[in-house]
Amino acid sequence: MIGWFLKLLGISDEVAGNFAHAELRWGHGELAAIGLALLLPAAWLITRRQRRNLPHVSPRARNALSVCRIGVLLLLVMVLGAPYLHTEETLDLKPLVALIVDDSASMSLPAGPFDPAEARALAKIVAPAASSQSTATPAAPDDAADVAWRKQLNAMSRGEMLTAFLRSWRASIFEPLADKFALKVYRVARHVRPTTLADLAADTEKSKPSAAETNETDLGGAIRHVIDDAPGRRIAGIVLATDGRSTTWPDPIAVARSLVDLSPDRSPAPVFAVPIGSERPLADVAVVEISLPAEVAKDDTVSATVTLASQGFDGRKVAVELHDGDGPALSTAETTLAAGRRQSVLLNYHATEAGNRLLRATVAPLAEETVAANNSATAHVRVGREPARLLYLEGTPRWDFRFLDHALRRDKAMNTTFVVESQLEADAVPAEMMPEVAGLSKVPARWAENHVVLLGDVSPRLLPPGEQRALVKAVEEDGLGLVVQCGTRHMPWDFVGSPLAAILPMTFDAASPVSSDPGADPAASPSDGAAPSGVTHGLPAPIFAPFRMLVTPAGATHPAFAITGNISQDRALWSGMPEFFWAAPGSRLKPAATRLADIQPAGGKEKLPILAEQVVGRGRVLVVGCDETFRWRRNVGDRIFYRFWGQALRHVARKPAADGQLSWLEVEPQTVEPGTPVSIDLYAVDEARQPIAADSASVAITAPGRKETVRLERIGEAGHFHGSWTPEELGVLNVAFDGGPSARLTATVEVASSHRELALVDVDRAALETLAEVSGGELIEPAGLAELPDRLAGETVHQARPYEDDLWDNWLTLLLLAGLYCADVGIRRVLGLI
Amino acid sequence: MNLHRRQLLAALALCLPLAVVRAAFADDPPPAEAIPDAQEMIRVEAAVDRALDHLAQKQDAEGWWPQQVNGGGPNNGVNAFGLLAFLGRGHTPGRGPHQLTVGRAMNYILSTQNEQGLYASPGPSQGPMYEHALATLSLIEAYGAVGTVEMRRSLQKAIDLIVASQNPQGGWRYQPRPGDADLSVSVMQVVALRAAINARLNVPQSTTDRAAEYVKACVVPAGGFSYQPGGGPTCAQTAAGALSMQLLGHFDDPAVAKALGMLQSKPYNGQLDSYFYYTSYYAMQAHFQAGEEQWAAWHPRVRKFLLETQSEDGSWPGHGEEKFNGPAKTYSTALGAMCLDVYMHYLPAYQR
Repeated sequence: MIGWFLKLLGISDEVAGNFAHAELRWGHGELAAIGLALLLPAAWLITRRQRRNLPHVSPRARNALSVCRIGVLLLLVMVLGAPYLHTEETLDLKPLVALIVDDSASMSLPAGPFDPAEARALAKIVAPAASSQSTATPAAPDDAADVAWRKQLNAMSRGEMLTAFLRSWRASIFEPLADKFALKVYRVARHVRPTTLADLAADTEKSKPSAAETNETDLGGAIRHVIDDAPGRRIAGIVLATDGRSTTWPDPIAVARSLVDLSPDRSPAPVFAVPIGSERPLADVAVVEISLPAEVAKDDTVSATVTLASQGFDGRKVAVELHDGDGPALSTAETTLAAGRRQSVLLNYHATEAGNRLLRATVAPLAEETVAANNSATAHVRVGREPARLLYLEGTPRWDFRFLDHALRRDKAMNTTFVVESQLEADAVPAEMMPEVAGLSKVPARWAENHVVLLGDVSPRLLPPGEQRALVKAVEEDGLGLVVQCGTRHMPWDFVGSPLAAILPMTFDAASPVSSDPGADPAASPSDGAAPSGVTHGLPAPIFAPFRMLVTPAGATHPAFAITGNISQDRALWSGMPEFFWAAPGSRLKPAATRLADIQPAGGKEKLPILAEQVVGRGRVLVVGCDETFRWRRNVGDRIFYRFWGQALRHVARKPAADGQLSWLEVEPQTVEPGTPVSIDLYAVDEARQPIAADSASVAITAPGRKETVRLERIGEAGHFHGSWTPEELGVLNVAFDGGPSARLTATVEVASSHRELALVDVDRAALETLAEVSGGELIEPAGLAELPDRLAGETVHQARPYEDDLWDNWLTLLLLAGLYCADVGIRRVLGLI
Repeated sequence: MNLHRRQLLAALALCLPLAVVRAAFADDPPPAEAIPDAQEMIRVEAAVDRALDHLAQKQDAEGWWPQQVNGGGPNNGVNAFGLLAFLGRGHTPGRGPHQLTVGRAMNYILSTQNEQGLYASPGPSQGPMYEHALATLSLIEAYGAVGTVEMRRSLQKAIDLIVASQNPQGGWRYQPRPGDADLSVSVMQVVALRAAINARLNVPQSTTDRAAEYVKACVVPAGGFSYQPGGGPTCAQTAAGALSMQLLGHFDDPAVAKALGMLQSKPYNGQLDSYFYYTSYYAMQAHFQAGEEQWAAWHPRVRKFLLETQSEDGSWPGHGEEKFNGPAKTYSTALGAMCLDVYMHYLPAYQR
């Protein structure tokens, strides 16, 4: 009852529920004491004064008036004294032991093979629980039963073996730990999911993860999750039962290192890694990757590089085949397997049919092979009716140009025309003749003969306003794509206020030159030798704080940045690219533009956009405010550098009108892993061939037994819509937009597993050993896990948690005060005193 | 502690893209060690950075490097290698921590051009065309970051001189005029011409065609390349010949594969050739151009040796080559760094 009343006064549950043990305390006890001491004479004075001043009033009414006034004074003393209730809760914080169990796809691989000694040791763990579960299991291990046990263990998958272990460990190891430790249990695959020992041991169908969930193993994320799940609590140990194959970022070893670095005195989260599976390598051939250009033109022949990894088949010859979907082999190459090293095999692909093709490289499973699931890999190829036509205008042959020049020439699906302004200058072409000699026109249709234009650091001499207007019109009306890569000399600085600037997604300030002679000491006078002087604009980075590209969430889903098919890996990859020393950030992003990447200037200033895109009329315009993309080649060559440029150019390029249809639907990427957003872009016209003016549009996404609708929002100009959607289930999905006869469009997306789970089949003991060592833990073989309790350190911490609540600051005090005042006024009015 | 944490962060920053790239393209490990282990790359980059710090300290205020050949004085061959070592690590004029070093070196070499177009070493020189070709190559690469009309004019003049100095057989010799020829001088002209084409300077097709004929004439049928047609193979000329063939577009010529096979059959150490660094540099580039299988068979040996033999001060010992290129260790340090720079993939002239 008292508790209920206190809660009514706004006292917290912790105090109200523990009222019996609560103490009354005073915020200002001295004021309360003085007030109460003064209250007695004050009460005597009030009573005496009432008696003297109101002799004609009845004693009862006079006393009532005195009580009201004394009551008000008493309340004031109470408020001044600030009474509150204090109670304490004592918490026993046991150190945490976390059990993380890997249930990713790689745990479906065979646990064995085991030799007799290994099998005997493992059988000792499994036998007690097994005998209680089923009568069909062999009896406890002895010499006679060894063979049967070995056979049974060798037939188990890693996941089955782990479940068998857990049935035994539950009672023998983990439940007894509860006396001294708090135990939390998690499953990990693509996500970390809390569970219980009982659930793990039961291993019901309901508790099994979906195929999409088993697609990855996030061991680093699991360790982080345990840390986040134990605020203020010491972690005695993380028991990690896994095959050691972590396939996503963050790397568990990096996570452990960062934790130790933050707390160097003691290990904050020692990992006790329990490898599940045999030490002995499995005989296996894996097709790790098939790599070929993302886009080719019809009738082209390109090379597909197939990467193989194998072990246990040294010297064996195998045939590698290339298939278009499930069709017959298009080409075959024979190779001799070399154990322990990656091998590349080249296969020819002749594109005979336009459209999206799913190519598959396969190696027929060998008789002794343990895992056949990793004997193929797929890649999507878009076969265009003709090569995309690119017009590349550049000022001087800077490094980015030189690398792009090579890459574009190799790209058979890109037909590039190069114009280099410095070459025209060297050939003494007069400025007024430059556009004509370069083949640039004032007629939009001539520009629109290309699918995309790439403007480098060119000057207005090559691209005067007349030609700019034609280019702008071709973008707006013909859907020509435009990519602008800024430079230090002219672009975009000499185009501020020009027709071209009007369609760029960012505005730029025509800044004054920032440096001149690159060899001159800034502190010294300018060199007067033979050194050329260069005028540069833009934002140079301080030597001590180079720029790093920060891909925005919108950028991470942009097709230009798609590398791995996994958005978190892509963002990590791009944000980890080498630093650079110059940028052309926009001073302001235009309202309809999408910000794709930023830089963070030194001194904690506001981030500035360096990559942005916007829709302009029927076309797209992308600005790259950096001229050091060649740095993306570090250690890997063209792989990332041209992946970005090739994808950016193709994304922006005008879409070929199929059967005279102006509308188009674009879904990127076409192959994704579950959990990765898919970007959907739509351009739709009505029957009058005018862009649809609605603010949104819907596309239907269907698969056998599934259907959902995704709403696309209008971006920029009428007719352009964009949205994204994240698939969670594996399969081929159909994306459809029905806008009437003029815009009935479809596209497909394949949601596929990453192949990473089964690409490497052995238990990664080395990684687990390093993880355990770095974290301050230990690698413990399953047979030795009984010693785990001896290795766990940490005592229960008794923690007192105080709770306090004011007793005066509530509605009751206010009510009493108002009541006493009203009673005083009411009595006086009744008595005719006022 | 702060330093420790910063080092860790730097290591993680490098590991991150490498790890993701490896996961993205080839899982673990990459194809035939096309990309070394992330930790190994940290060691490689640290070794190059120490070498560049050493070179930056040794640079004269005018922009040249001491080399102590024939009594000393600036030599544009050494200066060019110094400049290329920085460019190959991504240090371009006007940007980054070594911008002054790079800018001074570039300006110094440019200032040595004579009326004929030759980047003439002010100090003693045994072969001006060696130094001219290297200087031209280094400046063409630097031109990618500077891009002025004056620089292009200077470079075109330098290339025109190379074109004019080619002999009727297609080769080049020490002096800037047609005469006899050798593969050692010719390979440097070939690389400079290749860089010039890449930088859109004017190079007649006939020049590169004739150069290819000369290089082919130096092929030794049993394997390798000789200094002059009809001679016996050496490791230095074999590496130079293979790279020349590749840069002239003859990647699939059987002589290239044979040459690389011959190099791979030798133990890689300081006795590889009396021109150890010259051989190492061209062999490293030739194996890189040959593709992943050949590259994987070669680069780990070079990397291991260079990482093990680098001195505390960041320099590399001469391994006997100092008798040709001076005891100042500028030449050996620059070439050692350039061998490891190949991992960066930054120099446009050598892109595969």
